[in-house]
Amino acid sequence: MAHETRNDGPERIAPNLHAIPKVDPFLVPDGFFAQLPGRVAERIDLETHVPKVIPLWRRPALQRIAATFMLAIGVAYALLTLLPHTQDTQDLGTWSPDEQDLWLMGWDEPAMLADLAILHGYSDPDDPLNLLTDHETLPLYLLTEETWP
Amino acid sequence: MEGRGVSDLQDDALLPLLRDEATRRDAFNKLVLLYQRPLYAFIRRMVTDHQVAQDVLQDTFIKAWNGIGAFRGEARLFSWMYRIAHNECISHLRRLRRVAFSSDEEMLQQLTASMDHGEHFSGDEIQRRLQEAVMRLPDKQRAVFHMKYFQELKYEEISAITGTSVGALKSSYHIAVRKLEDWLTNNGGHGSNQRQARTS
Repeated sequence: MAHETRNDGPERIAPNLHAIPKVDPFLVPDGFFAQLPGRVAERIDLETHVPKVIPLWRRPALQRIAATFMLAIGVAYALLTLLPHTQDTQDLGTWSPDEQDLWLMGWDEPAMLADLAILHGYSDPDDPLNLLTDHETLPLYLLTEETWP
Repeated sequence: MEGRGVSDLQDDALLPLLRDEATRRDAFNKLVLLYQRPLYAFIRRMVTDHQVAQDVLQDTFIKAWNGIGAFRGEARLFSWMYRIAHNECISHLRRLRRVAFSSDEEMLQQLTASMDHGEHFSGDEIQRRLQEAVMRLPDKQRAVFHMKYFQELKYEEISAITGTSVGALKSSYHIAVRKLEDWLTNNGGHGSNQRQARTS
């Protein structure tokens, strides 16, 4: 009766099933259970010591958004900083020797460049430092006497 | 009966050791020793093949290790471990179905073939047929059947493992038993063999 209660009486509703002995027919290779704790410990060691690399697309949405935002900022920064330099370098080869000298002097003698800019109204005389820090973005004609407006 | 094989007393002794980081590693090793046999029996019944069962069992323990720090003891350790094993089985079978096989029938044939050709199955023809019949049950229903019929867990325990209500579990188990009985009757079950032998 206790058995019947435990199994909801399969002998009544399922005589074929009930007639099959409840044995475990599955065999385990020799030493399997002796080795398993060691194998699990090895995997735990691996997982503990090797930082898990999770691809971006499998990370939480917030992390994906933050990463995309940072990437966009990085690309924008690269475009803003690297491209003008490339342009300058390319143009430098086409300039006359005087233009090149003046352009290089702008790097070495920023104070002089600031004076020129103030003289020609391209900088605030009260705050020439703004120009000093940004002198590389000045229009080219500022640096060449022949083409000053 | 394959049974639980783990007592509440053993769980209670392990829990404080698992919570303490200084003793966690040793305690987890004890947990593996304690649970490897009953969990293997359950997983093996679910997936049939030894190699697959070994992978799922290892994954179960790794998941348990990763989650043990957050285990607060709201559920019993026994239920928690079985729940991980249950979920691993279900997701592994789902993955197999999606990646390795084109249909349920193909997967069934492959898994039952591992009983025929594998060296790790000692059952006779009727045991093989029973396992084949059980493999035809939907995964979750099969899990309920194994836990109730072979491991003889209480409905309340199975409910804590699967997150299904006791009423739904009883219904699921009853339907599973009916399906198995029908299949065994129509495919030369143990009783029908005996009846055939008696009439011949």
